[in-house]
Amino acid sequence: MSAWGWLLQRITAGIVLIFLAIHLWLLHYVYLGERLTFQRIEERLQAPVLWTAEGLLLAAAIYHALYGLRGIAIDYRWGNPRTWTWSLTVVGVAGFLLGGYALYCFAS
Amino acid sequence: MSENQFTLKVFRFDPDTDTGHRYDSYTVPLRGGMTVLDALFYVLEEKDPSLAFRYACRGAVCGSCAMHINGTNRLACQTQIVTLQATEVQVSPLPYLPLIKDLVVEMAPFYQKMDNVQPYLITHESPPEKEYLQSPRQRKKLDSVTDCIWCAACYSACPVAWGDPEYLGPAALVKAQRFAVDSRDQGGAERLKPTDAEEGLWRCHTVFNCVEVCPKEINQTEAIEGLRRRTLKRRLGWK
Amino acid sequence: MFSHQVLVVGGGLAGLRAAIEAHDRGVDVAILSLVHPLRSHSGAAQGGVNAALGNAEEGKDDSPERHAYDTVKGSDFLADQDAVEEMTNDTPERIYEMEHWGCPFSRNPDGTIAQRPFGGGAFPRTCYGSDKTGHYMLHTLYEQTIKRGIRVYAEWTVLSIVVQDDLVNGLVALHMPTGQVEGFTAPAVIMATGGAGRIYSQSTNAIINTGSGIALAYMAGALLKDMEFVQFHPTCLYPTNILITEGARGEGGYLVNNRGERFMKDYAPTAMELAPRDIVSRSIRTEIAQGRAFEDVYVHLDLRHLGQEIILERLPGIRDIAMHFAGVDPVKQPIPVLPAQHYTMGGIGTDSWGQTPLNGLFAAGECACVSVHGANRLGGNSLLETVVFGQRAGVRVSEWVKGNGAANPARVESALGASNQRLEELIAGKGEEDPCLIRQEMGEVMMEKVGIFRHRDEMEEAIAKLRELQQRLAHTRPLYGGKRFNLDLLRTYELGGLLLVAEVIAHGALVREESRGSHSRRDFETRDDQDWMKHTLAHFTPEVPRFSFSPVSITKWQPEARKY
Repeated sequence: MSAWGWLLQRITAGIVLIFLAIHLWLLHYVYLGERLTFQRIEERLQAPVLWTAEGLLLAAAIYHALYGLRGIAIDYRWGNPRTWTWSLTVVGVAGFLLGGYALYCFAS
Repeated sequence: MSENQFTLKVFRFDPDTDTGHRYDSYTVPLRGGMTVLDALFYVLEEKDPSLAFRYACRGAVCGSCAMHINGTNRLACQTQIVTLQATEVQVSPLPYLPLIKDLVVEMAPFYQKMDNVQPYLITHESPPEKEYLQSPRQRKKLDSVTDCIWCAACYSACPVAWGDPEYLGPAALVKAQRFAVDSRDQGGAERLKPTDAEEGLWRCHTVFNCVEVCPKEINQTEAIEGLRRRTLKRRLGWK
Repeated sequence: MFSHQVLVVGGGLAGLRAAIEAHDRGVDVAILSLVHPLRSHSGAAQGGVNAALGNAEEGKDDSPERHAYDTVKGSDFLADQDAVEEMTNDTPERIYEMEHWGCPFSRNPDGTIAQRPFGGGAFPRTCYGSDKTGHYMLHTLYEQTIKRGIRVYAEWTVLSIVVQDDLVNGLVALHMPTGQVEGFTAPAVIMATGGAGRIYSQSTNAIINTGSGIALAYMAGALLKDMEFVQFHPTCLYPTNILITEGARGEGGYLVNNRGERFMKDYAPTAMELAPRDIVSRSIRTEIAQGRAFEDVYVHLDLRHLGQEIILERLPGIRDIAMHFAGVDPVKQPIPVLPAQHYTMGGIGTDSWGQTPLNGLFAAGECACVSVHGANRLGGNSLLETVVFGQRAGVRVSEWVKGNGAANPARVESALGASNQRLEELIAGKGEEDPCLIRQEMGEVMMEKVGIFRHRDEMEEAIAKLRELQQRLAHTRPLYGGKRFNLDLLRTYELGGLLLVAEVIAHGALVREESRGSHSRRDFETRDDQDWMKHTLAHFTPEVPRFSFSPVSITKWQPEARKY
C-alpha cells in the first residue's frame, strides 16, 4: 500500500468530490422533461459517458471510504493492519460488484 | 495567592516504590525571568531532593528538558512562568513515552526512529579537495530542517505516534527531509527508502500538533509533505 | 562489566571526533556520557570555527601561519607555538571534513563556506553556520557516530578512573536512569568532558559543565595546566548569562555605555568591539565599575543599525534568545549584556596528540590544555580545538592500544567495589550541611575574588573560603537515597569535583604574579616575560595543590606588546 495507497486516496478524494457533485446535480436539478421518472433515468444512464462516470464514482467512493476506515482501524490499533487490508479489499470488491451489477442493469 | 509566588504542581512517580502516580504541589517564590526549569531547581534544592528531571544547557539548544507544561509540550528552560499567565503551573512528563521517574522519560523509542532514517549525508563519490560548493539558495533549504534539537516534543504530541509505536514520527521524517534536500547528498533512491513505508511518510495525518509544539518553530508537516512529493516524483519516474 | 579498547568520556565535539577517528582506525571504542551526546554543551557554541580558508573577499591573504600568529598573540604569548602551528596546519582538512560529512555551513555567493570576522583575527576567518555553528557541528558528528554504529553509553556518570602503577585500566561509572554502578575495562581512556564553568556563579556554560572530568583526571594523577586562566565572555545576556555570540560584534554590533558612547574607543581604538575577549571583558567591567552601566549592571549591545534582514539571516538564534530570555527584540532594542565566565583555558595537561604523562590517559577539547589558547582563547578557536585535537587524540590512542596490552579487569572490579562502598557511605552519612548552599557560596566567592580582576588579598580570602567549603562538604550527604535518576546524589557528588578544581584555579591565580591575558592582577599589573613565561602545573595532593612549571615553546614569534 503505502505510497500508492496514499496517492490513490488523494486521487479518489478528487474524483468523489467532482463526480459526486455531478451525480447530485444530475439527479436533482437536471430534469429530462417535465418530471423525473425512473424510466428517464434508465434512459439517461444508457449514455456511455454517464455510466462510466457513475462507475468511476462508485469505485472511488468505495476505495476512499474503506481506505479511510482502514486508517482509523490502524490508528486505534484494532487488530492487524494486514487483516484489515485483505478483508476490506474483499468488502470493497464485493461492494463494487454489487453496485456495478445495478449499474449494468440500468445501462443494458 | 500573592503576586510573588505561584503553585507548581509536579507529576511524581517512582516505579521502584510507588504503585501509582500523584501530583505534588509546591509554592514557589516568583523571581524575575524565572523559567519552569528554574522552578524545578528551586523544588529540588529547597523542597524535595527526590525530584527527577533532565537538564543541561538552560538555553533552549540541547533539547533535554521537553515536558508537558500547562497542557502542551514545551521546553522547561524556554518557558517563563509569567508567560503562562497562570497562578498554577502543572508539569508532567512527555506523554506517550515510557516513564523512568517523575519527569524523566525513556527516550530510546524516539532515538531509535531517528537512527532508522539514515540520519547522515550519503556520498558515493570521493569528496572534492576543498568543500562541496553549495549556493546560498541551496543552503537556504537546510535552514529550518537542521534546527531540530531532538527534544521529542513533536513525537510525543503526535496522535499517530501515540497509537502506532512503529510510526517514525515527525522529527525523524524532518531529519530524512533534511538530507533529501541537501544538494550534497548522493543518496538518491536509497535516501528515500527508509521513510517510504506505511509506518513512515504515509501515516502522517497532517494533524499539525508537531508544528504547534516545536520549540524551534520547525514546520514538520511542510517537511513531511515535501518528502512525500519528492518520493512520489521518484516513484512516478518524474525525477 | 563492560569491556572496550578505548573509552571516550564525554559525547561533545571532541569526544565524538576522537571516537570516530579511533573507530576508523579499527579500534573498539565506546563513548560514555553524562547526558545523551546531543545534549552536550558543544551544541551551544554559536559564532563559528576559525580556519584559514581564504574564502572571504578580504581574507585571500590568510594562511595557517597568520592564523597561528593571531592565536599566539591572542594567547598573550603563553600558547605553545609548535602546538598552535600543528593545529592551524590541520585546520583546513578538519573543516573540509566536517563539510564533507554534511555540516550545514553558511555559504558565500560562489558556494564556498562563508567566513566572518572575529575578535583578534586579522582576516574574516571564522566559518559559521548562521549563529548555530556548534549545534550544526555536534549534530554532524553525532550523525557520523550513528553511521558507524559506535557504542554510546548515555547518562553514565564516571565516578573514577581506575589507575594502578601509572597505568589506566578503565572506569567506574553510575547509570543515572537505574542507579546501577558498573565497571568498564579499557587500556586507554580519553577525557573529553568540557569545561568547569559552573564553578562561577555567573557563567554562560551549561548546568552540566562542572569540570568533573578535570577533577577525575587530577585525582587519578594527571597534571592540571594553566588553570588560572579563565575566560570571561564580554557579551552575556542579562540576567541569565546566556551567551550572545561574538559573531554579533563580528557582524558589526556596537557596545554602548549609559552615555551612549562606543566606549571601546578608549580601550582598543583600532579593533574596537573586535578586540580579544579578555580586553573587551575588562573594558566592560571597568565601565560598570566607573558608573557608566545601565542599572549599574550591564551595557548595551546594539545591533539595530545592522537592520532586520542581516539580523534575521545571520543572527536568528541571538534574536530568539534575546526575545525568549530577556524580552528584547534586537531589531528594535539594544541587548543588555555583561561579562560572565565562558571558557576554561587551562585543563588536563597534554601534548599535541592529546596524551598525558599518565599511561593510557588522553584528553581533548576544553577539559584539556595543550596549550593552544595560552592566557586567552580567541573566539572561534574552541570549536576548532575540539575537532583538531579530538582527531589527534583518536590517532594517538589507536597507536597506543595497539602497542599496549589489555586492561586488568580485576583492578576495575576492586575499584567498582570501592566506588559502591563510597556511595553507600555517602548516602548513609550523617552530615547536616546543605550542598546547594556550598555550591552557591563557591560560585559567588569565585566570581567576586577570582574573577576578571584579581588581587592577592582577595584570592587569599577566596582560598580560605574554599577550604572552609571543603570541610563543610565532608559533612554533607544526599538527602535522597533512591536509585533512579538521583539528582541529589549526582549534584552532591559533582560538588566535590567543582570545589577541587576551584581550589586549583584560585591557587594557580595566586601563584602567578603577573597580568597576562585573562589573568589580570591589580597587584601585578604588567606581563612579566622574565619570570612568568611558563605554564603552571598543578599536582594533586590531599591538601593544597602543589605547583611545578614547564617552559613555553617559542618557535617563530617573540613576545611583543599586545595592542589592538
